Amino acid sequence: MDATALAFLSWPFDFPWFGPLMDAFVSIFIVCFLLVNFIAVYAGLSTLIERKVAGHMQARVGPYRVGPHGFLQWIADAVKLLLKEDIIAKDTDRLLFKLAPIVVFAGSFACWVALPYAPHWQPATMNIGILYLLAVSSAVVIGILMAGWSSGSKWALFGAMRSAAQIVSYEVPVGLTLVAMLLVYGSLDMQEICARQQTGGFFGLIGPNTYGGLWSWGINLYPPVTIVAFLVYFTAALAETNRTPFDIPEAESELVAGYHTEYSGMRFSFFFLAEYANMFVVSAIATTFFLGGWSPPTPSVPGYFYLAAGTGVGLLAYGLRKSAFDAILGALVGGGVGALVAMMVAQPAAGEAFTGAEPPQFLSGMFWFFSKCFALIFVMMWLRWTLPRYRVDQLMDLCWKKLTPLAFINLLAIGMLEAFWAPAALKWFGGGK
Amino acid sequence: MSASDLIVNVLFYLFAAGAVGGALAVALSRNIVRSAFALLAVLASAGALYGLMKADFIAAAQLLIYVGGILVLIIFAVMLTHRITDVNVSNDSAGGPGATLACACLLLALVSVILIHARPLWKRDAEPFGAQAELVSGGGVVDFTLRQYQADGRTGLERGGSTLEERVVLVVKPEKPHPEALEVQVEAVAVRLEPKPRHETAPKGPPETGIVPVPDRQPLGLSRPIGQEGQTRFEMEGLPVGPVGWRVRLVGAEGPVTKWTLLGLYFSVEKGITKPAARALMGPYLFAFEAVSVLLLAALVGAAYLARKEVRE
Repeated sequence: MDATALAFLSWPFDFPWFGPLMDAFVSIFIVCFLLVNFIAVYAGLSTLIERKVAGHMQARVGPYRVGPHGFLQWIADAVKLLLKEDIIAKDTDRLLFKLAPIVVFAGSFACWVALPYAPHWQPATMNIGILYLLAVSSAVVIGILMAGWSSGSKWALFGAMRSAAQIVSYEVPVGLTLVAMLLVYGSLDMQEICARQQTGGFFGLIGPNTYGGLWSWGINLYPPVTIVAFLVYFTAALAETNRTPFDIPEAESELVAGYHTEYSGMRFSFFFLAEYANMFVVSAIATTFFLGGWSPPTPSVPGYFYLAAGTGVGLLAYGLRKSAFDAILGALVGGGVGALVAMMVAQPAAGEAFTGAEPPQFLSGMFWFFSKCFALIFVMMWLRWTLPRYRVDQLMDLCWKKLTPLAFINLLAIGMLEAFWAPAALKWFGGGK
Repeated sequence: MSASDLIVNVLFYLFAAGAVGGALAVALSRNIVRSAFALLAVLASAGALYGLMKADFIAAAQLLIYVGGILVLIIFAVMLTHRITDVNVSNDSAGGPGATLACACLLLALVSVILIHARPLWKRDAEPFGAQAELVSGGGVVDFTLRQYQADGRTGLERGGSTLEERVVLVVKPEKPHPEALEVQVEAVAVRLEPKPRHETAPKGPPETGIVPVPDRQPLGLSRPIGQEGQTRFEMEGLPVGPVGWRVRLVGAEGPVTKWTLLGLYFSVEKGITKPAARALMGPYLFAFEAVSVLLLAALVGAAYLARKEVRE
């Protein structure tokens, strides 16, 4: 949380001990309030986009009735879920039944406070970042088991067992690929991992003081190996979120709806929110570890380069009409576009330390982080509507016989490269250091 | 008590209540599945308590291993027993005297470990490590005693100790009043520790380290009026991560009276306990760590065996 914003918000309460106490409450309130509402809106919009994507993938229209182009469909869905009757069947264990959606949602919501949204901007900065994310998200499994068992229904119990087995199994390749990348980054802090992907990279051919943009991203550190790591992570993470092609826990042709069969109304929508929140968290981890986090994809050039380039292009494009007015207009328009682009992608000059979260950096960081996350979420939706579902045995086969050995080989390869190649590369291409 | 202390205390009692309440639910619930789920409260609260003790790595590992791994295993094992709906499979069916004996043994072990190993509370405020410093001025030599404390201002930091907080208290106490000096200035400097060659020091024992200031790091300075009798406290905040040393000088009415003097005291600010924990696990505790992992493997095999047995009947 920004310190000045906090100071501004808490000024009326500046009593000696009341101040810090209110600070804490205000920051907790803002973090929770903003994040919960963001998740609600994001999940609602995602359901709409998911249905639209599904429509286009399958050459049909998708939701089209409510609002222009069906844009308000998600609000109608939310209202419907809120107004539905809250049914609790006779054989349920009422306490656990009511607790389960809360545990599942808490597990995925707690992850959101440790994501690196922009440089130096993270609701809770912690130096065990990724470990915290993995630890907290394990509550989801318990919640799912709780839901499945307490429902008093065989469908729900089967779904929960499948889901738990699947999540626990696929945590192995997820953990192994992340460990392999951690060997390179040498830090668990999400912000440091992002910052590390601004410089160096690509087999050490890019020096540690050069901003390489796209070529410094985790996926391009040791390209064949790290790309495999990314694919393994993404596949396993997809399975961890219980989405198609790995959605056997809620396979409607076999299990009605899996562990949330017996849930209705708001309790059901909590599972739904948790699923979409989880998708975002998983994409955010992939973005942070492999796609550079908040760092822009352009190699290092100071902001005025874009300004100059835009001005030049505009000058040429309009200047060809051989009128002074056109040339000036072109320069202005081009410069404006260049300045806009610069605001989104400009990085501090090469070799300079990252200092403070200035507004352009903050905005561009947010922009790139969310763009990458949403791109990955789109890929997840794309896969869901184009691939058929796995069988249970195929699923376990894929995890234990293919992805896990691959992840182990990957870990070994990245470890070897980091141990033997990286020091040599630093010596040869280290840029004088 | 400051506000942040208050919040930490409230959270501590909240999580302690969660842990104890969860444990009671585990022990007293008549439904074995509910007992298993109540373990979630116990394990998560224990993780949160580790977090309150600034052991962030341990807290995350606790959640990751116990909630994500062992608790799921336990719930699976409980669910795989086919007499799950039978009320007899609960805590009531365990023998009372045996359980009491086991609990008494555990309590005895716990209390004896606390009595033998934990540093008693009443000894914690004893004199911390102090350093003598000599400041040479025109008026002669002034002797100082300096002590460094953790952020609470009570717990002493020994020379070369480490702290997880970015705040440290230095207490400066002049041996006798100084005629010219009005103020004492203290700066926390980032330092580098360089081992002195062994032959210069004693032939045996660890090589002594020399403290060298890191030139390009800006020191963090504070200036206070000198206490004519008694001591002056300096609270330094926002210290850099890594080894930090102190330098002191006296300031009179017309500028500094003495030169900056680097003290023999230093400590290091650690960022989280990940590195110390990793060093400990891969160093002195390697065997214990591996032995415990064998224990977990045994538990896993046992659970699998129990589940298989049910099927075979």
